Amino acid sequence: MTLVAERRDMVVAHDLAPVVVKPKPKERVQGKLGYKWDRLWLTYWFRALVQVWMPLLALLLAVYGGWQSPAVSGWVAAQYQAVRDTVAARPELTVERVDIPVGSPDLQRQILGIMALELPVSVLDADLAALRETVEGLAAIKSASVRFEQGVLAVTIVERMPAMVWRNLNRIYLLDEDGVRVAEVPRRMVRADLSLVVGQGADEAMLEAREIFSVVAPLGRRVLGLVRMGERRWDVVLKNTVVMLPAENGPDAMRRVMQMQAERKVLDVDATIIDMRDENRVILRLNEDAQIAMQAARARLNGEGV
Amino acid sequence: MNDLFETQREMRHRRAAAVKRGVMAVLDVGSYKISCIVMQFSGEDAADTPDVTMPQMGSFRVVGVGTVRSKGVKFGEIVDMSETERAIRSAVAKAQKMAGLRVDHVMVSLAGGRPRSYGLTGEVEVEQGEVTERDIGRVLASCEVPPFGQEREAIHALPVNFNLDHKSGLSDPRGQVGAKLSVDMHMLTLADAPVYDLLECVQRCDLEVAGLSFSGFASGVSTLMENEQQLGAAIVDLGGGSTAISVFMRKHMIYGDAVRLGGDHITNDICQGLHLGYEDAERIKTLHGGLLATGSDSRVEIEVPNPMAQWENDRRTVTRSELIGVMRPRVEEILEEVRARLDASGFDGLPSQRIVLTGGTSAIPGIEDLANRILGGKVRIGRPLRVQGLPQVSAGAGFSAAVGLALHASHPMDECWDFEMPVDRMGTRRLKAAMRWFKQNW
Repeated sequence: MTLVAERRDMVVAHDLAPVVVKPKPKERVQGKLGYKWDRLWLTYWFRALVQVWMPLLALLLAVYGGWQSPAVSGWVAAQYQAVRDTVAARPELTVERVDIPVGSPDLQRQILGIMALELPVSVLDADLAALRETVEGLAAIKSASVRFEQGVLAVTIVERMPAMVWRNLNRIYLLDEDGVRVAEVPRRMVRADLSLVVGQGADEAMLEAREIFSVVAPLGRRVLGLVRMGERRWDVVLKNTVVMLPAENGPDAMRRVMQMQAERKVLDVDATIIDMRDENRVILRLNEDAQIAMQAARARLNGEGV
Repeated sequence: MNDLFETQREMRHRRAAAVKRGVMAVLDVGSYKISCIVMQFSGEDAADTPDVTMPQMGSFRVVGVGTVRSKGVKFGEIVDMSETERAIRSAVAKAQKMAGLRVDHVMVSLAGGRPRSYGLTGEVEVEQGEVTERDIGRVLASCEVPPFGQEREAIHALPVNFNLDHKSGLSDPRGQVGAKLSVDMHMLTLADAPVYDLLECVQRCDLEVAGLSFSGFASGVSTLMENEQQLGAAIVDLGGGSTAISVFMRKHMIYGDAVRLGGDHITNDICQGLHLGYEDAERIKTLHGGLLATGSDSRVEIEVPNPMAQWENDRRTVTRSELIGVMRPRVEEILEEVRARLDASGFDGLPSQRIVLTGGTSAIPGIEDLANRILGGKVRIGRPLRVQGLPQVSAGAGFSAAVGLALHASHPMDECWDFEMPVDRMGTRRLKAAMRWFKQNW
């Protein structure tokens, strides 16, 4: 009885469950080899070798080997082709029709003919860049853009506008303002609204020609056209008169002529040729009537003087 | 003196080389546990790092810690080479794994080896009125080394104090004017067999030893406050198999000794007194151990594991006062032994007589009061300094030697060995010195 009473005021440090002594798990001791391997693994160069360089080398070797062996490379190419064909067969990528918003019906027919597309075709098989180059190869077209949008291949073109008529070697062409041949016409009068240039090499000096035309514009219908002489200089052909311009600064010479016309009416003189080629002096070649009149005037002057 | 001079310089150079490499480990081989700390040196000056309270704290960072139960070590000395080698290997492997770095250089500390302290004095005439580095080299070389025996090795030797004529207490007399320069040096020797065994074990783990130090010294470096180191304090590192004692004064160790008793002996007493297995005794010691019995302790029953128990009523309990009754005499014995060593060292004469207890065994509750009674006043429990990157579990009193080694490695105080050995002391090396002079000047 007393024993129980004693025990009641005792404090038990642990809860009532008996202490279970578990056998301690045996400490795993690393062997000498494992230790050495760990140290090697922690070495910077070794780690870099194993983790970076060796996989890289293996990858490179695999790629090279695959490339070299025909079986593997053939298989890869076949797979690629199969995937590409599946994608190309999608209806979203099919070109249903070709739309050319601007341009004359004639030009549109020409463009369709040159593009030579067999519709419907997948947009992957149609090389849009090449098509654009083909369309731009047409003489009448300055620039073009080819766009694919929702089954429609839109070909937007900028036409070359004829700026002049060029007669050369018995043929008559229309030139745009850069001197590119746009079309051939049977007669000059088909485009009577355009000015005329004549002669070999005229298309290569269009910049000058346009400037000269703008200078002589006040003369209106008196201007017949420009003639390219020896592929280096211009002759301005007016009614009754020809103005020979120098190879350099042709437009400036023409401006001087226009100034002389304003001051002295030089173009109304009976001269067949006004030669501006020498910048220091202007030479007039008079026509026959004028020469006779001139001689008479001179004789009269001399006679009076005698 | 020549050999001592040379070995000290060589150790210093090896450590400097390891620090320059950036990664270094310290290894504290104790009787109870082996701990390895991997440090990474940042290279930046400690003064630049904020949150630094001691000058040596900022220049390195702890990146890995590995602690394993020690095997094959008794009294701080190796008794089973292969067991110890394996334990060292697993400690190093653990620390390396945590750090993710490979360690090649380690500094090692040990507590055993029957340390013995010697005071050395040397005296020379100053050559040119002013004390130069050459004079310091000469005075260090002039110290007479006592015959400490063939089978001992000097592992610490530091000048503690310089005297110039009548001035005493100089730490760096360079540039001062005087005629007679003398030095007081402290040297600590250990029995060479334990040292060589330890070095062999470390080398078998493919590690290079960058330094060796006495664990009492290392504990003092990490545990003592700056003013304690300056004014005089004793550090008592209560380890598992042995208790290292060292006395610091003017920031230098002036005495080192060890008592070959420690926590393992307490555990053994519990084993015998309470009839328990060693592991169980260790567990009860750490969980319920104490030194000062109170009235309630006789009512606290501790359930003792009984491996033979088959029935519920086979349970055994002991009261806590019984446990204290077993532990206390052994702790008293250890502390009395420490007291005897401190008395022998002349510790009483120091201006301050602070005693700091550290090491794993200092965690026994009540040891502070007991030590106060036995060692006399001014006892505190010391924990190592806070070090960057050290995990909390490794910052306890049991790790003061390891942390101290780390601090010592990052901020050594033995620059004096950089001074040139005077030529006339070199004896046979004179020819080599001449060759070196030719190489340097031609």
